[in-house]
Amino acid sequence: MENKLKKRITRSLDGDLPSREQKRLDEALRRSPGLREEKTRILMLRRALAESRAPGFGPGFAGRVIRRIAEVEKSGMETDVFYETFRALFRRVALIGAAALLALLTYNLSIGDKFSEEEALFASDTTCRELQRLPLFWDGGGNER
Amino acid sequence: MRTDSRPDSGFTPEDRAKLEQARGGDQNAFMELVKRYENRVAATVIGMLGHGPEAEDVGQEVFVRFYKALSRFRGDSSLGTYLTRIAINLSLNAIKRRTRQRGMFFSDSEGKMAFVPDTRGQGSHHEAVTLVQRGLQQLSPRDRTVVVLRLVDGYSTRETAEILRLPQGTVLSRLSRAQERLKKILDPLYHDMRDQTGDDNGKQAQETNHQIS
Repeated sequence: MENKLKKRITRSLDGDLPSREQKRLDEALRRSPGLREEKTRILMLRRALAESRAPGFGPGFAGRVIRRIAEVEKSGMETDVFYETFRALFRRVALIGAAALLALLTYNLSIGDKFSEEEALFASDTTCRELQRLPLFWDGGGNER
Repeated sequence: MRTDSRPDSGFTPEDRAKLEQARGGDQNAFMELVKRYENRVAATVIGMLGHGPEAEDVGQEVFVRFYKALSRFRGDSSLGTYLTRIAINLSLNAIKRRTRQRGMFFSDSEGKMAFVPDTRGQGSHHEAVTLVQRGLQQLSPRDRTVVVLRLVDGYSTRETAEILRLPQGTVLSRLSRAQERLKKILDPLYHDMRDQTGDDNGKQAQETNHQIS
């Protein structure tokens, strides 16, 4: 019961207590010195908390914020410059790479019809059997080494 | 220059004008918005993280994020609410980061390791503030968020729920749990305050009640 009444005090201070319960609480407060003590204690706690409110960050705070924003913007610009340089470099490398690939494809197709388009673009599909036919694995007479 | 430390003072025509100027690249207009809202952001961030360079860093980051989002900010919520939401999210990130970093080297809790008391105050008031800030650091980040917004920054329960995108019932239950824990942590402070105020404590408590509610 005591605990319930304590909670009612808090709710009452927060304006969250219906009028009927508020009347009951007022009656209980009139009767019980212990409950009155509890209410005083809560009020003093709240006063102490309200008084502990920090007055500010100290003089010159707004100036420090502006300086920090300038630093953030500057570092952001530096990052942007780096990013743009990297992007331009990548674009140049990508263009050169694409041109080289196209030249290779054209050359491979122009030297005869031995290559399929797939082979011309990528690698020839040399199999293990073809590898075995290379002189590395055979002696001059066609015998396996 | 008017600084606004009160929660939810709305999105004023002055804010709107400064916002438009800032969007157009006027740095002075943006600086005035920072000046206007820095106290509110400070209350939230320092409440969450305690005093120290980390709080200043997070505070600056709140406005850097805001600056980057200037073109996207539509003004659906008030500027104060918007900035407080960023401040809460960045503070929670800082707490996570702090816990991770400390976890690598120490077994101590995040709060005990990170707390830097405010040395700007003096005397018993300063001690009380230090004790309260230390108590706040011992709450879980979720409970601390609710206490900071509702009881330190002075947002209403509805506004707190709106900022945290939580149901009001959740805000109230977290508040109640955190309050119970804080009462135990701050017991020595309570006795000091009661001794100082003596018979007058009820009257002062009532005044506080009016201010908070």
